[in-house]
Amino acid sequence: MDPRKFFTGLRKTFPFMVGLIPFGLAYGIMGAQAGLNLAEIMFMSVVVFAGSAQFMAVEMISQNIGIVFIAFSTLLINLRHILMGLSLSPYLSRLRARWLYILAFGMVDETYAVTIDYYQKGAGDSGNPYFMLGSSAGIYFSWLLTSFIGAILGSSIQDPLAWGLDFAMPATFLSILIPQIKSMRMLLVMLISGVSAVAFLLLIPGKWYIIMATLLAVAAGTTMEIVQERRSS
Amino acid sequence: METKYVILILLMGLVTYLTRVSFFLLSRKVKLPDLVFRSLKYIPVAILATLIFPGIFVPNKELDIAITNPYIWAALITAGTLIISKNSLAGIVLGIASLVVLRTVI
Repeated sequence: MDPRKFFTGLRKTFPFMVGLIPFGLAYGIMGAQAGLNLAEIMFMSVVVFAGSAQFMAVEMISQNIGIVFIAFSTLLINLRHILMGLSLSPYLSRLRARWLYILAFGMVDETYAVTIDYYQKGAGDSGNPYFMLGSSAGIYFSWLLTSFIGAILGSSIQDPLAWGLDFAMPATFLSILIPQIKSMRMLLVMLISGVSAVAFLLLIPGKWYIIMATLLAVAAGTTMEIVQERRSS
Repeated sequence: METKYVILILLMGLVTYLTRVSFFLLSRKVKLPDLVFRSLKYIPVAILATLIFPGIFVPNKELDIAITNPYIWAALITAGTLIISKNSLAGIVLGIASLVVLRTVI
């Protein structure tokens, strides 16, 4: 457990820290437009630290939707973190519980993507908590700073996501996804998940699509693996 | 800060943290069945796909699979660059640049 891997995690997360900038700005701007003050906008980024949930929340606040419903929607949109936790847990099983309480707070999409990629590659350093901590710290810093700037700028600038910068996140996630597609089965899992996510998003109201598409694709991948094994044995 | 927002934010923080910490802790108490353990390797690819595809094919809350959708071209350019060059920065930068250009053209 080399503590210097904190900086490796930070470095590997750098593209996401940059890609996050337009989103943090947009969140701050949207929050200000929804009528939240600077303290409230920042308090949400500090405490919740979940981009897509915060976007949804400020949008719902501006529509005067009740807080219980917003909290429930937050739960739905964050259900994917349960699967991320499940996927990381074998690598973290030897750590003290105290580490898990800390690392869990920072398990955002970007940190999950970078960390699972690093742990899967292994190289004798799978499960180093300092790597994940560094990655989370980088995203947290970028998220807080850009939320703050967005909140101050408020409506004095245009929505940065309207320029085409909203592609920064899909592009950065693609840079992690593409190298993981090493077999026909992984390609199929990707396609099943992506296509069903789009279908569920359009067909089912609410935020169920992420968890439903992921479960469907994971089940399909596992089934394919078992069927192929039985055929060859 | 308004009280109702403070309550909302604390509630959001609580449910978010619970979803993040749940399996970290549960997987220490419960031994995962073999089937679940074998399925874990598909989770990253599946989750990443759900984070990417909707942003490309449903850019403005409506399905857009026409050839005039610049996000599809930008995604193909990003993926192609990543496969050929194996350089993540090149893929990201070219992808975003191509989208900015395509939006003015299409």
